[in-house]
Amino acid sequence: VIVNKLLVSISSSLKELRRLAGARGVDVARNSVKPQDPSKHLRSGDFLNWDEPATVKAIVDADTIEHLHKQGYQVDVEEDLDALGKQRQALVGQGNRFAHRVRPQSPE
Amino acid sequence: MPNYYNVVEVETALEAFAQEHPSIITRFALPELTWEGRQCHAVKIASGTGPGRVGVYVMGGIHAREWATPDALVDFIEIMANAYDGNKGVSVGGKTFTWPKIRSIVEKLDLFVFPQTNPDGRHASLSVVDQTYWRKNRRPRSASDPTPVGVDCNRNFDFLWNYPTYFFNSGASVVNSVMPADETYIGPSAFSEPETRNIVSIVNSNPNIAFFVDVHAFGELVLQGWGDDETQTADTSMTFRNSAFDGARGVTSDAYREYAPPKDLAQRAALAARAQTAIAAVRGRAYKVQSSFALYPTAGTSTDYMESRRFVVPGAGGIRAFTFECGQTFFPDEIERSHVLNEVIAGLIELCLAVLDQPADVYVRDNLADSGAEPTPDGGLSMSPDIHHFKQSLGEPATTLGSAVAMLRNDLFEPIEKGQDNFLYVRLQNRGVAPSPAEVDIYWSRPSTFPTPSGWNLIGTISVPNVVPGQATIGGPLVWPTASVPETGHYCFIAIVGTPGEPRPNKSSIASMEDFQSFIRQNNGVAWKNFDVVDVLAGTVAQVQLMVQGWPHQELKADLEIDLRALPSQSSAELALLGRLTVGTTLSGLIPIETEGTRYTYRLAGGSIAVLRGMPLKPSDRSEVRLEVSLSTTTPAGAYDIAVIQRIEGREVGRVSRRLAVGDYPYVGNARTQELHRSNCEWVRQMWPGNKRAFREIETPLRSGYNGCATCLSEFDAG
Repeated sequence: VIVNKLLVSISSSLKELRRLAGARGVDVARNSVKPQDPSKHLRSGDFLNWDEPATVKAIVDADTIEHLHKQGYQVDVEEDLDALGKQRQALVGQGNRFAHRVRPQSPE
Repeated sequence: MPNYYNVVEVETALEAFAQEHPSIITRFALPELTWEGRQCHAVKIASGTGPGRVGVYVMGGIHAREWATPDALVDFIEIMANAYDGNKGVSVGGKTFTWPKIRSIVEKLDLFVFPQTNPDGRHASLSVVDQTYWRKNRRPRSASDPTPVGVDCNRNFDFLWNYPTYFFNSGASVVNSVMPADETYIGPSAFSEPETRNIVSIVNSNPNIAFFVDVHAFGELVLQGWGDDETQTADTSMTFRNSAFDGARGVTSDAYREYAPPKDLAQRAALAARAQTAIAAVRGRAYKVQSSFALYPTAGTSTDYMESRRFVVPGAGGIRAFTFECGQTFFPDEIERSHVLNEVIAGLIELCLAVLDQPADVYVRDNLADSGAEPTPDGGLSMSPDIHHFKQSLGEPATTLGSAVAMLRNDLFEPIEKGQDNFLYVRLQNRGVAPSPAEVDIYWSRPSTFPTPSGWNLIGTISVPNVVPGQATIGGPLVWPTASVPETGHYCFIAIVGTPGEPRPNKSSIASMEDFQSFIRQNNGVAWKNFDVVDVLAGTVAQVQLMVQGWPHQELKADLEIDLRALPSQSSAELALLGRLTVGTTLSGLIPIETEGTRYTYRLAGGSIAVLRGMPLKPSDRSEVRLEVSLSTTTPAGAYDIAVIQRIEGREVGRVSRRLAVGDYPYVGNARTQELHRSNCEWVRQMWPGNKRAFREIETPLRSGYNGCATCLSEFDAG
C-alpha cells in the first residue's frame, strides 16, 4: 500500500513540538521551527521559551495527521509531497545538458 | 522547461567546467563508490598555489530531497569560473560582486566544492515516483536483501555518533535513531557510509581547509555553533570528549553546554552575519543567524564533526563550520528555485570575502594537541613543542622544524650548554587569513613546577617578518650568549608573541595564581616549555632536579604528583625533598626510606603514580626536589615520559616533564670522577650505575669538563 506523504505545519507550544520531534512517523524539519507570532522569539538569551506557541514543518502520512489531531496538535497540510513531487520531477532534466560541453578524453 | 540537474548532469557539469577553465578548476574523484556504484567528483577552484592559502570547503546534497542544494553549488562553480576568466563581476538578484572581489577569492583561497555528496539518494528522489521525500543514502537492508533502507549520512559522522552513550537522558530528545527504517538512522558505525567517508577525505587531504559550509534545505537560516547542546565559552572541561558529562548532553537550558573558544564563536558569528546580509540583498529574504542547537540536539552531523576535528584528529587545524538552510521547501518551483540558488551563491561568495577579511591570529602551541584555540582546552600547559634550542645554528630551520613530520614532534631541541652560545628558535602558526609580522620575547627560568614570572629572565626577542596562514613559520635564531648561560643542563622557557594587531600580553598583569594560569591558557601567543630529553643507559640512574614553588605573600597547600606510569614495573625511583614539605601530608605510592634530618627520601615504583597531598608551601617558597630514576638492565630501548606535576586545589599549576631516552650511546661519563669512556671500555663495566652518564657525541662532555680515559680515549686525556 502506498501512503501519500504530506508536508504539514504542526502548531503547539515549543515544549510540545520538541516532544513530538522524537515520535515515530513524524519526520520533523527541525530547522523550520518558528514562533507563531513573528514578533515573538523562541529564545530569550540563553534560554528557550518553552511555552511560546510555535510551528514546525514535518512530513507525515494521513493516518498520522489524525493521530496528531487527537493528541491536540493543530496540523495544517501544506503540500501533498507525492503529488507535488510528481509535478516537480517533471522539472528534472531528462537528458544531459552539459554533455555537449565535454570534449572526449584521449585514451591513455 | 527542465531546470533541476539530474545526477548525471551534475557530474558532467563538473567535467565540463574543469575542461573550460583548466587554469582555475581542478576536478578530482572521491575515493569511494556509492552503494549503487556511482563515482563522485568534486572540484578545487584556485588560481595559483603555494603555502599560506586558506581552504574553504562547501558541500551539498547530503539529504537527497533537498534538491536545490547541488544545483546551487554547480551554478556557484560556473559563475565563479566565468567571472574570473571573463574579467567580470557577478550579479545574483539584487546582489553584485565586483570582479576584483571575485579575483581575490580565486587567487587567495583554495575553494573546494563537492556539490552532490549523495547521488544515489538524489537519483531516487528525483526520479522514483513515490520517493521524492527520500532523505537518506541507499544502503541496502542487508547482503541478502538489496532493498534500499538508507542511512542518514548527516548523522553518520564521528561526532558523538553513538548517541545513547552520550545523550541518554529523559530531557534530551535526540531524534537520531538506531532503527534502519527511521529517517535519522545513524548507520551501523561512525563513517560506515561511503558518502561520509568521501566528504571527510577532502579535509583529510587538504589540511589548509579552515572553513566549511554544508548547504541544506530548508528554513532560511545560517547556522553556526554546536548542534549537540547550547554553546558556552567559559568552561573548557565541558566538552564532547569528557566522559564525565555522558548522559548530560542535549538538555536545553541546563548546566551542560558545549565549550567553544570565544574567539571562534565571535568569528563564526561575524562570518555568518556577512553571509546573511548578502543573502538578504538578493531579494529581501531575512535568513536568520542562529545556533545549530535548535528544537532538539543532534549527533553525528557534518558541521559538528568538522568543528571537532582539531580536538580529536592529531595535527588537524581548526575548521569553522556553517550550515545554510536555504529556501522554504524541499523542491521549490522553477521561479523559487532560481531565487534560492541566487541566495546560496550570494551567501557563499560573501562568506569567502569575509574569510579574506579575517585578521591574523599568530600563536605558539602549549602542547602538541593545541590548535591555537583560546583557552587551551587541555594537554598540559608546560609542554610547548614550539620553543627550540640547539648548540649550533640550524642550516635549514624551515625544514628541520617546519616540516609536517617535525610539527608532530615535541623533542626537537638539545640541552642547553654552558661555555658557548646557544641558539633559540620559535615555531609560529597563524589561525587567521592575513599574513602578519610577529615579535617573540623568549625568557628562561629554572626548571620548576610553578615558574612564577619573578623568576623569568629575558633572553631576547625574535622578529619574524611574515607569519603566513596554513604553514609553520620558524623564527630565529636568537643567540643566548655564552656569558649569560648559567650552566649546562635543563631550563624552562617562556615565549610571548606579539603582532601589530594583537600586542604581547603584559606579564606584569599577573597578580595571582589564577592570573598566571590564565596568562598561559587564555593567550594563544604565550607558551611555556618545561620538557626535556635525558639520554640514559639501561641499568643506570637518571636524575631530575626541579623546584617546587609557592606564591608570593601566600601560604599554600599543594599536591605533588609523580607520574611514572610510562616506566617498566622493574624500574623504581627515589624522591628527595625537604622534610618540612611533608608535614601534614598524605602519601600515596611513596614508601619512606629516610625521614629523619632535613631531607626526606621516598621510594616509588615504576609503572605507577605517586602523590604527596597537602604539601605546605610558604610564601615565595622555592624548594629543590630531586628525583632519581633507576632503570633495570632489562629496560628496552625507547622513550619513557615521566612528569612531576604540582596541583593546587586540584588544578594543575605546572609540571616538569622529562623523556628518558633509553638506548645504546657511544660514550659514557663518570659523573663523580668526570672521566669519559667509550661505551665498550672495561672501566664502564666497573663504574657504579648511579654515576654513569650517556652521551651521543663527544663534544658535549669534553666542553663541560670531562677528561678522556687513558685507555679508550687517550687522545682526549689531558692527564
